[in-house]
Amino acid sequence: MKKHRIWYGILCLFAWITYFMANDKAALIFFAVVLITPAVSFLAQKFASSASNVKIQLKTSCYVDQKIQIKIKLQKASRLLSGPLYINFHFHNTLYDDHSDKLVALQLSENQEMEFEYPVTMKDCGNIKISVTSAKYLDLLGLFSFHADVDLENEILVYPAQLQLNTFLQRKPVTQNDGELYDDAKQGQDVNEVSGLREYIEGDSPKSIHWKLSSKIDKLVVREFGYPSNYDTLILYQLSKEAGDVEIPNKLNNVILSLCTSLSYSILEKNLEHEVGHIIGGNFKSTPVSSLSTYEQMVLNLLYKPIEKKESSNDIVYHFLRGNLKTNYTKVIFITPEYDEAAIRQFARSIDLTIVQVVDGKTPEYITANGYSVTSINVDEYKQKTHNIAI
Amino acid sequence: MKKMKLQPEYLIQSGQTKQPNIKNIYEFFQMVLLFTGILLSLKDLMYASNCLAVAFVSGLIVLILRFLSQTSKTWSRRIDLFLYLTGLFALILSNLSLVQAILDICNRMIILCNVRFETDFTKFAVTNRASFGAVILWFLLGTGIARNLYLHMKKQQFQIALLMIMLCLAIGFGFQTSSMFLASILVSAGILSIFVHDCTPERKLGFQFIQTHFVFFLLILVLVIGCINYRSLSSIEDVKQSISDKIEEIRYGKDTLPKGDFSKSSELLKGNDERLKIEIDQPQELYLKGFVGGTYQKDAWIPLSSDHYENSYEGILNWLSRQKMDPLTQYSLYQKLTQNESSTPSDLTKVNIKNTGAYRKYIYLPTTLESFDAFRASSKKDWAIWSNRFFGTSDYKFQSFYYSQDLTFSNTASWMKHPKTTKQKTYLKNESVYDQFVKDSYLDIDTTLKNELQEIFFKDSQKMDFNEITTRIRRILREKISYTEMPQKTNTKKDYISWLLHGKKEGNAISYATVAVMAYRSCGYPARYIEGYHLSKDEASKMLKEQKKTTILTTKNAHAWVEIYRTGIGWIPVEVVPGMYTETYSDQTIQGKPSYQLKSKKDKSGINTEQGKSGNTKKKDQKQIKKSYIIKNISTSLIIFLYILLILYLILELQRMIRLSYFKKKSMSVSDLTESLEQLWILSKIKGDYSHPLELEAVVLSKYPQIYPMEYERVVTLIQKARFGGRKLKPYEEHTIKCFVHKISHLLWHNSNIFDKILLRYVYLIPKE
Repeated sequence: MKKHRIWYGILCLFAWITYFMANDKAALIFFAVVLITPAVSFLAQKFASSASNVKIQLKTSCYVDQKIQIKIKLQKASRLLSGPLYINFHFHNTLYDDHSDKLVALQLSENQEMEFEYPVTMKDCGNIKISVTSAKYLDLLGLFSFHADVDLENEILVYPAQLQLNTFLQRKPVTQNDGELYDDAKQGQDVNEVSGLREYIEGDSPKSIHWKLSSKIDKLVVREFGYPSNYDTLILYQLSKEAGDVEIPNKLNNVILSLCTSLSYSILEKNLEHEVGHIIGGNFKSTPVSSLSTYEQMVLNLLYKPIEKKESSNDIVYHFLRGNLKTNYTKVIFITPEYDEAAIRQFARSIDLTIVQVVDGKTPEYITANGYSVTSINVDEYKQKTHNIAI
Repeated sequence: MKKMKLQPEYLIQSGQTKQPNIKNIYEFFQMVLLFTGILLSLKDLMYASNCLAVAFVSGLIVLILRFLSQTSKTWSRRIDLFLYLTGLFALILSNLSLVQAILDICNRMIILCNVRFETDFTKFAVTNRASFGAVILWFLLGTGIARNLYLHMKKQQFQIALLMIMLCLAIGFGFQTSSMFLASILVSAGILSIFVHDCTPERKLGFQFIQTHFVFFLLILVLVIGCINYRSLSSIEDVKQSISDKIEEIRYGKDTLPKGDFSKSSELLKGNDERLKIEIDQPQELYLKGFVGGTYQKDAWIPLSSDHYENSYEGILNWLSRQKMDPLTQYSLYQKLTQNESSTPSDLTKVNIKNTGAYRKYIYLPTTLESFDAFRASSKKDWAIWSNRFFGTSDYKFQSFYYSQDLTFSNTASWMKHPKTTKQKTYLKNESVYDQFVKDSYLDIDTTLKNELQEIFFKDSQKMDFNEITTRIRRILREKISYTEMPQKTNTKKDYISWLLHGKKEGNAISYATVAVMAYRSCGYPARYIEGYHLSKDEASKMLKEQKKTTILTTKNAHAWVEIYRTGIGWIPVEVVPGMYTETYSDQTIQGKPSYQLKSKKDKSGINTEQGKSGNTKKKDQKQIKKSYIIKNISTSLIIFLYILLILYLILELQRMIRLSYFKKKSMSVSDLTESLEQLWILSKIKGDYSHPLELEAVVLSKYPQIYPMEYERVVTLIQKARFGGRKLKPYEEHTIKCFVHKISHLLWHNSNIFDKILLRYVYLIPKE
């Protein structure tokens, strides 16, 4: 609109100068057309936009990289001529604290009721607040704007990509404790030991259904197996805008989140209870995942909590060891964008460790050392190439 | 951080599809509308109306071809090639007649400039070849304008198209082209459609579309009907005049001379401010002329228009100048020839003038001028000398012929009937040419006014000579008009002379001079109206008595008088204000034969008479001729240079296109691509061992930070795979290398300076698109 105003202003000035210099009817016609047309356009648009109604609808959740449609319904009072409707959408990603704006111009037709679909690709996961910062009708020449009442304050939850992962346990769980806990070395100390029964929840493995009992009470009942408490697993993730002095792009964090949730789901499918946690400013926070409901809770925790501005893997390792968290877990899967070999070696000395490094660019090859393994995943290929993961 | 400007995404209604064909047809008509408007506004620059047809057809063909080929890049390129070839062919065909056509356009522009801004540029000589050249030129311009219009509109750069349109309109309105009426309607409609289309580019063809365009069409129609009977507003002209006056005042200062405007005649003698400071070695009466009116309008005198110096009198002043006969110093020359070239220093009066409060644009000089010395001042036609300095000239000096008798009644010398010397003969031949010009230019008078003046001044009169006519005019004026210093304001609706003679019957020097000029013209004497400053005989005598050599002319010396062209003698001042002249003759007496009856043949041979002028004038004339020759030579050389440049450009583009089309056909193997890459490294001044490309990585990356290390390594690996591994690369791998070469070419192009870019474009064909 600014461009139109400037150039139309120049045109008016030019028309005025030519009329002033030439002072004949040709120049007057040119000047009059240039001067009066905006007035007509203004009046027409004023009338057309006076009694219009705009409604906006959109989904509440989607996956990352998914294209969603923002539906805009518009109702006009008359079929009279009208210029375009410009709507400025503001997107605020609370996870990354990112703000962005998108401007759409709706090309109105003569219909009184119109519906437009604005496709938006959600490139980052997190909770995204969508609002309309401005909505205005432009006249036919794009010189005048008229305010349009559009109220939109909506949120959309963008989940990370869900990968179909097969998790392989590379190392046998090592018993740390004894007493009332199970020991796989002893007979009966088995992960298949049934500890309880409960109602079926969607997502439960069909193998766990107690068919005999279910048929009797006409309700699906599943067996709950004994906890392999001697295999305390922690999925430790590192999410931050900067690691050391290197800026971490959002797409990298998106992959970390995707791996985190997919890995957790995969482990859960193996009926292994685990925790998903991270260390922020020296404080360790984790969410136990033992069922689908706790899994859902974990995902929400991941997406709603704004990420840290700066966090390095060194600090995470330091605080993990200093907080003596190694006594609580027997297995740690550390999903990180950076790899500091010295810190990782030190970390691996204390605990059974698997490093999942997410890299942007060329995937480095590391020599797997004793006590830990490193898996590098490229951000651009993770969906296609990540199917099996050994931990 | 600078906020990025958001580009809108245009959405159409759900369920509807975009209509590219409708959009293209709409854009096509929009461009045709604008293109036609542009051509119509340039019509007066065209040699003949066939140029308009040629330009229109060629442009239309370009637009049609462009629209048909817009989906195919190959066809677009072929059309470009075709256009270049046609252009080149046209250039070759036109030979140098194109230069003539360009000069013809320049001449038309010069005329516009001379008329509008009162400049005095000389036109170029144009031969008949211009007619053919003009057709070629307008063919080229038509295709060029259409092509540019298409490209800018398609790229959504309507600003550039708008600038182009405004430029053409400015030329059209400047020329006041006859077809501007239609052009302004077409262009207005086109411009509105540009804005509407840019605002809603995906608007579908429907009720809304028709409604919008119908409203605009109706609006334009109403405005056209409303404006059809428009006459120029006098208030606008007044404002323009006042602005122009204000600018003139800032530049040259202000005095009370009305410069021909009768409505300001009452201001002539208003106040007593100092105007000119004169230092004169032999005090004498001086009529220092400033404004010269050649054409009488009912409310003002205006200088003789440029039209009089065109057609059959084209270049007459230059020719006279070459013949050493300047109308401004003609009287002095005549006197020298009369005195048998024995002009001694005692015959000349040296005058120094300091302009302390008068209008500085004019160099106030007398009719008896022999030579002058003013920095950056030149002749304004055959009227006067004007300053070329931005703020005018304040100090100058001149030499004037010293005379003691009344110039008005000076008779022609006897040698004019029987010239003896060659100089006298040459003078007479040259003078006869100017005499004819003067008679054709300074005798304009309306028939009604002529009859009216004849009735008042020369009723019942027999054939009268100049002296009798002068006496009669003086007497009638004295009887009919009473003198007043501050006459009342004129009635602008009426003719000034009629209003004066039949209505008000009182006036000052301006009134007397105006009526007298027209009275002289009515009886066949070329006359013009002069305003300036008058050093009277009495004042001169007083200076002589007191042996003073300096005097100051004030507003009270502002004056208007008549200048009559006496055949053979030149322009002489005639005083008609009662009390300012001495009556010598009675209008009843007939003395001798009227001088205007002297006939002499026109000289077309252009005999050169170098002895006719003094040394100073000769040098100045030579300088002026030399200057004008230099300007003409420079302009012609410039145009030829531009012409050569254009041909060179077209040839280079053509060879580039041919070579590119050859390369396009040829499939590029890996070794070709490797060679291209090596060539690019050489051109990028990357030194090293090209057989070990990985060693070059650091240099390449430092030179082009836009390249990723991985990207480079990948390309090198692929090349090595093909060259040393002997494997055939897969299509996508070849594409990777091609993309890399393409990227490097573009980076190299962007990093190069203008000379390197020329070299890269035309020699190395970089970039290849």
